[in-house]
Amino acid sequence: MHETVWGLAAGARLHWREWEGEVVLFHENSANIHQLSPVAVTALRLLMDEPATNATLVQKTASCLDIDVDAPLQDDIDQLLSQLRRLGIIQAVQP
Amino acid sequence: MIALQLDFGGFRTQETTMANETENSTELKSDRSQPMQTTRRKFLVKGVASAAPVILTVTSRPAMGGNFCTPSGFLSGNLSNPDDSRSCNGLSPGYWKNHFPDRFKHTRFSSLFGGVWVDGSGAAWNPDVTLKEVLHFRGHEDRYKFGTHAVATYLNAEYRTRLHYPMEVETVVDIVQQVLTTGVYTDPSTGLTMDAMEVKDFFEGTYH
Repeated sequence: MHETVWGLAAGARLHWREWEGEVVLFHENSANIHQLSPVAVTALRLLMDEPATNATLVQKTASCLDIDVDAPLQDDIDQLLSQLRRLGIIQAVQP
Repeated sequence: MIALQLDFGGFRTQETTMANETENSTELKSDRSQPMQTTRRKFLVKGVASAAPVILTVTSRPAMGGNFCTPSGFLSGNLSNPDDSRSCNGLSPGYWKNHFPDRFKHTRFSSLFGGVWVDGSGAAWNPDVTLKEVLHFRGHEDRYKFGTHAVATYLNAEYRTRLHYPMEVETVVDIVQQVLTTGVYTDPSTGLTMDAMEVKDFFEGTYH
């Protein structure tokens, strides 16, 4: 079983809004609005730039945010990928 | 749930689609280069160290369907309020372990689903393992208990007429095969996906 590569879902239309550091995302396809944590914002933007596996995304996110790769960050990324997938914002893509 | 009307005008909006990605990429990159610098560290620490969810859905559309017995129904309704009283009439692995149909006693998991699952350490199963043997696997032999629930759900589908079980054999096989080969199942009607653990949860939700 290979490691899944995640990328933005085909046709996804996202609108971002930022107020004093808080980021809100409007997902036009589903008409859902989501408030994202800083980790989520960074990781999602990284995925929009380039599809990545879970492990790669953890490393890149940590690097972007200048934080350690630790269990809480891994948990956040696990949760984020699961939620973004359920929301139809990301999908498994060909590596 | 009533949709919240937000005025997105007056603030810079970053829109990106697969088709327009190039068009908007400069704006998106420049925004990313203007991080929340003055408060960045505070929110980083807050985001990583706190127990707050990484994504909080502020508003969502009502569920498109109430049928949690199919993959699309399960995925569509997952963000709303699931109906905990639902029953899809399936029988659990425990039932099938004690009432295993003779006609499947030599059927191999790999022959049926086109691949093998893994144990708790990630090691692949022996390709000769049978459906009956999978039902007797202990937790460390079957990651997430995915294999056990795959077998139980397959048997529920085989006896769907008698059980009034909604899923067909072909659907169950397709779901499991996709997980084994790609790591996820993609529902064709919604485009949403489920990984092995989520598929296990879905299967489990179809039992009595």
